Amino acid sequence: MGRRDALRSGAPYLIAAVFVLLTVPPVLTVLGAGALERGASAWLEEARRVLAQTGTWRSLRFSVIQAVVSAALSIAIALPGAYFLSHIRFAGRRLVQSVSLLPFVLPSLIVILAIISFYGRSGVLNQLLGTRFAFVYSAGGIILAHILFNISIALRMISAAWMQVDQRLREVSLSLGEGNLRRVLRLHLPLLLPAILNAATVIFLYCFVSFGVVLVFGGVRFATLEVRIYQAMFMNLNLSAAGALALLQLAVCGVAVFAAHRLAARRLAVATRGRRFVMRSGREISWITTVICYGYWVALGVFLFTPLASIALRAFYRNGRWSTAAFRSLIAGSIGDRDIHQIIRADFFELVTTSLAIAGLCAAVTTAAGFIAARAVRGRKVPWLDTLTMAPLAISGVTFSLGLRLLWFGIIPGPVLIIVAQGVMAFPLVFRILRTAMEGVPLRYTETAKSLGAGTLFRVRTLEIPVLWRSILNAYAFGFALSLADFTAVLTIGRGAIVTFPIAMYRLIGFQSFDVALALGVWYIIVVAAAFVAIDLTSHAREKEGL
Amino acid sequence: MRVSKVGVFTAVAAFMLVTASALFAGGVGETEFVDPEERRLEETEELIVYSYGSLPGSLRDSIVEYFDREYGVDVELERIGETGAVYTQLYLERNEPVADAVIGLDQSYLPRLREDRLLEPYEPSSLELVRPELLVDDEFLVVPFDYGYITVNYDGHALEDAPGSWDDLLDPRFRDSFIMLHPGTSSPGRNFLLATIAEFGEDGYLDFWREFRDNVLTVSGSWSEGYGLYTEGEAPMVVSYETSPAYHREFENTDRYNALVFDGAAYLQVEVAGIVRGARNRRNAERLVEYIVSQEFQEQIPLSQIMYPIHPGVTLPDAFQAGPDIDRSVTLDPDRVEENFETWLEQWEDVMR
Repeated sequence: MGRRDALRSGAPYLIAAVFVLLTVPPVLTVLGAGALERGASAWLEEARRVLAQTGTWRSLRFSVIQAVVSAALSIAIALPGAYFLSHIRFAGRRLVQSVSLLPFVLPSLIVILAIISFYGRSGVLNQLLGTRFAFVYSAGGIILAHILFNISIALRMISAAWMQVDQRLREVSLSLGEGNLRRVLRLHLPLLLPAILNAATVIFLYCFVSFGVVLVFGGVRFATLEVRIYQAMFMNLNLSAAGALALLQLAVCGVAVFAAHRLAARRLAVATRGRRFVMRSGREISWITTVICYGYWVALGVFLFTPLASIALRAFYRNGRWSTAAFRSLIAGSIGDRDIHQIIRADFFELVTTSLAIAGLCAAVTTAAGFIAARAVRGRKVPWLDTLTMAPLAISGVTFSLGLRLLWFGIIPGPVLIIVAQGVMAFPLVFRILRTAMEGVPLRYTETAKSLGAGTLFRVRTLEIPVLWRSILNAYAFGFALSLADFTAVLTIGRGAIVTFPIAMYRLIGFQSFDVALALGVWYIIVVAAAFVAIDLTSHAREKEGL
Repeated sequence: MRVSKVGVFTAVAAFMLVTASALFAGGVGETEFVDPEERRLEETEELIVYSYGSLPGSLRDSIVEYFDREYGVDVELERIGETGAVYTQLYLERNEPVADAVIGLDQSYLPRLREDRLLEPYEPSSLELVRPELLVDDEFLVVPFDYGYITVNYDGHALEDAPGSWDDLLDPRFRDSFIMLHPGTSSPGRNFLLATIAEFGEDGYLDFWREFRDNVLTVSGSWSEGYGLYTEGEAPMVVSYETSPAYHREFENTDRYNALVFDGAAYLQVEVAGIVRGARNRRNAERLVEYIVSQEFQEQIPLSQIMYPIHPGVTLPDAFQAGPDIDRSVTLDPDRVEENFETWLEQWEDVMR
């Protein structure tokens, strides 16, 4: 057995080692302090007490149910969209792709207020109907918010996979005279199952650890396990209890990921190969498909994205009147006699450059790491590694950032630590996207190139990157989005010295300058949308080249 | 030759465990039993202060400028996150303290601060207090920094006929009219729950909540969220500070928002500052405590923190004069709270779900 093969067989363990070294010590520093201090038996005692509380199991049950429902509905709603995105070159395709990511990058507080300003009791919808329905304060509100947050994951992951489905299979199905619906159900869905399960897993995890959304829309009834962990840690200041609950959360997430993975792995054998299909342009499709396609996006836009538009409009509304006062305050740098720069602690230009620099770097590093890791385990089934790498989604960001800072501050500069923290948090999604995509490309290509004498770097540059371009961009876009939206790591590690958009918005809201915060939010959306369009444009340019 | 998978896995797992525990030990374990007071590091011309993330920038500047001007000392004021995170940070660093002083914990942390021995006492040379009950610790482990009351706030535009008593709050005409903050995740929410326990007693508070439940529209995880919902007009009442309306009067010239005080009594929250045990720069930390309780610093409290200053010499801005009169501060004994809060919260959750 050669050195290369040894390296290859050891790769999953190497990846796991690096990953564990990055994540475990910081978390242990915080959550393990309880055990270290009071001894293992006292810790176990505390863990038993917490696990015996009925509230714990109630929270766990609610966490699981709402997360399963949210994930299933997000996927169901996203499926037609993913089909249109991958099959039809309709006008506004780019717009749809970029806009659907916006809820993902906005601080959750803003998205919550956006949903309320539209669906709330005194929201736009109730005003139009002349009613005061409180529908949003129910399980329905939770699920609505979760769909809004996560639909972009489903849209992007599934459409990317759909584009890789072999065109010849479709031709065979056509020649057999199968109808469209039958073809989708019998051919496409089974082929897409790994991507669907992947997206569903990620969405499940995001919803499982959801906190603010669940409380504000569902009230105490729907407090998740994450709420209890937070409570134990920061209210009761009980690190042992927080540690025990965090372990429980981790275990449940682990089981969910592992199960989904086993389900997907069975299907992975039907990897696609051969020529990829050609997207049809608007002229080549029937008018009825056109109507359905546009109808779908309009409906999605109305129900999901008008809340964002309505909150943008809200920035022009102050003290019961329409005005541009908030924007003027932002430019003038003061609200009444209050200096805005005093509140935000950064000028606009600084805010833009800091936010974009951190997000750009973080996304680049995370995507590169994800690519290398996905490539190293390519073509191999390593369910334990796939499960392990999802762990950051089940770890609280505050705990992780606090531990990271405690361990490394003074040794590693703050901004680097922030990028590490955000990178680890984004890694599960980035890695999933790249791994799913890489498994979809036949190993044969690489084997052929290798047999022709192409070196590794050459193969990566000329073969793998071009073939996987769309997925690499998806991974980059999500890494970018997650970093931009991060509030916890920047605040916990940067300690107020580093200011990004979400921090500036929270600071303004903290000073009750709600409209100015939203005005800043509007600028933020413009900057972010420009960045996404730029990222997606690269992908479209490549598509035109036939890749 | 085939390398056994199990072998590789065991090797890597062992390696990881060893490294992780080494890192872990380096981070927390190493100096576990050394009293930080006995290994105080050599003093520097610096002062490191921890506070929560929402401490206003203007107060930070005021402290930084004061130390630069008076003593040529560099102040590093780290605004960490929420109050609970500040405490956790101090706790995890207690054997090798980084900070010299802390600003912004409140009286409810006192039992834990004592038990975990995180602070060292210091009595400022002069401490003039507007109310005697602000001296929450007569051993001077902490000194008061500012204070306020947790009350029901209401929107006068949406509610013409505001409730006049706790019993009034239960009136069915206020159905779905109240935004509660979660007592497990928000400290005003926690204090409001305590206020109901102070009012109705441990035996009666659950009855109050059982009846009040229908009037609660939702429970927010944080003050920012809850208050945002309230100013967006989702519900006419919210849990907040008695001083919150002063903000709207001062900066938005509107008196539509008001605070409710029943029978002249309200639940008191005192925010405190203190010196970290084993602080490297004890002398500068003492100077900070002196400055914080001085009239010069306290003058800035009302309009930056939107809280009451502790110093009787400060004249309150007009916006603060318009609020309701409070003749009686209500609090529960922090030790009693510390002992029972988890149970109270569980019971409250059972009623509310």
